[in-house]
Amino acid sequence: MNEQLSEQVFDSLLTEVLTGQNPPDLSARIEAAWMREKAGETSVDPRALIKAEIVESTAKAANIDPASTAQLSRALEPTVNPSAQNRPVASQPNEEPTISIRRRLIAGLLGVAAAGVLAMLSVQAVLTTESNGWPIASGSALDSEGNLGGVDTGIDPSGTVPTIAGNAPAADAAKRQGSTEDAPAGQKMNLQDLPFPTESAVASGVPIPSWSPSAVRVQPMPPETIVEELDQRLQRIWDQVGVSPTKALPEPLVAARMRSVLTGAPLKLPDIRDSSTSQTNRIGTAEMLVKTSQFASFWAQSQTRGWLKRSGLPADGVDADLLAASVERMIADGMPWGQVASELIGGQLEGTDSPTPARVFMTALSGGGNHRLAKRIGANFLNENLECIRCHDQRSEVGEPELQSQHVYWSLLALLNGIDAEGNGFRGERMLSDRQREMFADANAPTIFYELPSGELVAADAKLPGGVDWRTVAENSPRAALASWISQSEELDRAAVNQSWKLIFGRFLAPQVESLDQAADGSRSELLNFLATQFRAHGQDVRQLASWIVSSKAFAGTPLQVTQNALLQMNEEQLQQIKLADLVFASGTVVSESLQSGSLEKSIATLLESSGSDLIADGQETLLGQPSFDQTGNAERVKNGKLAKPMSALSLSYALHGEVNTLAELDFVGKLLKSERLNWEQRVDHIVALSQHGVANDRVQQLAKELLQRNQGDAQRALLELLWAVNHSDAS
Amino acid sequence: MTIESKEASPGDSTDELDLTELVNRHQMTIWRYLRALGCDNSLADDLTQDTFLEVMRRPFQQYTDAATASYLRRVAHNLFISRCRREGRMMVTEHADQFEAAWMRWAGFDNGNLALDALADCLERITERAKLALRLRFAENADRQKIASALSISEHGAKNLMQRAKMQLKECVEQKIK
Repeated sequence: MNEQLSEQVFDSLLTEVLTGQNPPDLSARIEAAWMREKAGETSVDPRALIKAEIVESTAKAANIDPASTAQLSRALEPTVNPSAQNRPVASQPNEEPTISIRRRLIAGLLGVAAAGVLAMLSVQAVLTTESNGWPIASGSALDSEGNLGGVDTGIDPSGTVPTIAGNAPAADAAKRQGSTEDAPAGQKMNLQDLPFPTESAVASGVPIPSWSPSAVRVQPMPPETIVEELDQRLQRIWDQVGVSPTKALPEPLVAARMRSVLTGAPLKLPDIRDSSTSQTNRIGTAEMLVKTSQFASFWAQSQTRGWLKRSGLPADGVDADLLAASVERMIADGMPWGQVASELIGGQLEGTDSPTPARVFMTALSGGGNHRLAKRIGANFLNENLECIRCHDQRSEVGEPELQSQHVYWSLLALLNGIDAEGNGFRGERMLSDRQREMFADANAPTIFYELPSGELVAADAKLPGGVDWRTVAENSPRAALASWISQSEELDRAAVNQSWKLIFGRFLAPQVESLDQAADGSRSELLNFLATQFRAHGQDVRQLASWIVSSKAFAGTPLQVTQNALLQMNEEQLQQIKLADLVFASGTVVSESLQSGSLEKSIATLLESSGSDLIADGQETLLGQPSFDQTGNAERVKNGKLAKPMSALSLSYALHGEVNTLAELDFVGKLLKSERLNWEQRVDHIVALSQHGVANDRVQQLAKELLQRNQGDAQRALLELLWAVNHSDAS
Repeated sequence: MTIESKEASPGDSTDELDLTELVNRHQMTIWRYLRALGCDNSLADDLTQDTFLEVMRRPFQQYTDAATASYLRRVAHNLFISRCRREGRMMVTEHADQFEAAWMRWAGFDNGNLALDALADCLERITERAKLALRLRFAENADRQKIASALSISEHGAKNLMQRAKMQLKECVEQKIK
């Protein structure tokens, strides 16, 4: 017996006795709900939708015979009660009205395994009720031997197998009735696991975790096909958003940009004679560049700098160099990125002359409750901004379902219990300690308590996402278990794609906080998933991944150039279009990329400085010396506005991204303002937490207050400006 | 609404049960079962309702009370898993059989009243300090630090105290419900 579960049951009984909270009488409520249902107050049962989709996508993916597909479909639908055809279904107010595209995709892919097994099984066995002990339609009878009658009942969508007389399990009943002799021993499909929406339908009935190597594998495509598919998907995104990409650069220029982005070499404008736009040349050039030692070195340096930014160690110190050198060797050797992650998070901390990669990584980031460590792991290896779920659950259509709950965050944090670092790394005094072996030695591992938004305290035990017991993954240490889980997860693949895209374009392909950037975010996530699956199929080689990205249309686009006059002539809609084009990578280089080298404090301070001398008493000008975008239209603006100093890069970027806000940005800030639980400082915290490296320290809070003052107390305006500052600093 | 029921021995006449009786007999068990799975009160209310509605939509034959209870628990379990997956919450009890075994150990074939009565009785036999520690932990969701400071002991001591108390309670309850 599972002692933990036994403990859980006992605890619940103990809670009932100690709280005096007896079960309520729900009879009236249940009967009323049933009466309503019978009277026809219905909504569509989403389970039926999910089943239909799984069957459809499974059939398509596996080229299953339509006849057997139809039978399978019938088998999955309840046929017990003839009145079920028109039966009303009770509305379930908390259910999601639609199924995300990503979940359909995953359900379809994982359903291939189930489809294969189902196709092997006799459909007659599925439909024959006596073999499974499914609930029988009323009116059926036992035969003289006590066997269930052969009534076609289909499969119980509640996925239950009632025990029959004598409490004999259904499996025993199946054996007695012998109708499953067609199924090989030990491979009988346990249909009770099918009907409920499951992302891991397998014959054994045991769900396969998404991180398991035995999850469905994808065939690697040739690079040309990958790039072609990438371009097609980008085009669909642009069509969806309603923007047109800028014209492609000549190939020599593209090659020069590739060299600069992949190896860190200064951008040198080549002699433009060859205007060929052959994709093969582009791919060939990229593949050649990523195999150079300069790529491995530059890429390793870029990654390491990102990991160690604002950490307990200097990002350009001796330890950082050692870490970068180790990562450079791993990249040059073509080590799968999962293994790299595993080394960093779960590798040995002791035992060699020079610090191991894991030692540097942990020393830099752990300490102070390990929240910074968790956040960096989330952003770099799980494609999630875990800061959000530190304080509350999060609902996301495109995010990882296993990483959306507050409890998951704290369970994950509990896995890092016992790892700590103290001291000033900038003076070489930082020390790492690892007490995991002793803390997790017995069955009673340390528990973390955290606070729900309601203020209630809840306990979290060390568990991997998905509720997996870490001891089943790595016996010795939870840190190693976490590393192993991450290294095999699909989340790691998505993180690698997103981080690589960011290194090349300056921004994530798909936002890690989707609520902030919704420009075709579903389609961008699908593109991310496509690249991630191919990344895995190609052995998680970051070199290949980088080569595909720089071979894309998006990378070859001419950077957008907007003159001051042109900008001032534009109305808000046109500015929105430019901004959207930038968000979906249709306009070449990010306009404000030169600003991202500054710290968050500097970014905010620059905003404040720019606003000071340009204000005009009649309020016609914006904070940055630009005419206000009022409702009167272009002519009025040009007439009234003071076209003052030449437009700086700051002003241009601010005009595009700071003053013209998308609905998603307005919505996000709106929600922060509506929340009565949050004070001003906490709202600032939320905005800063959107970045990978930002910290809402005292200085940032002070500057944010000044922004508020400059905006005459307009909190919305101040927070939107802060958001701009966060996105245009090295914190993001 | 009626559901046909059938006794274990074939050939007997059918006894009819109505929804009201089904709910009255089993709602307490289902609610407790859902709470043991990890539902809070309101979710347990919702899923208890959903369990009976689900069963009403697909009428089944009842053989014994215990069989019906087991079937209802399985429906409830699957509804809980489904809800957790939709909400992206971590799952610790996807293996229904294991949880069922754990449930049967304590709640047996009744609705848990026997174990609860035994537990209430056994609680009277442990020390006041142990009772206080358990009350703080389970009734007030206090953390270990608060419990330790209420009892003027270390956190480690608080943990040991509660572990020992629970062990004693389990032994006492098991003897009573055998």
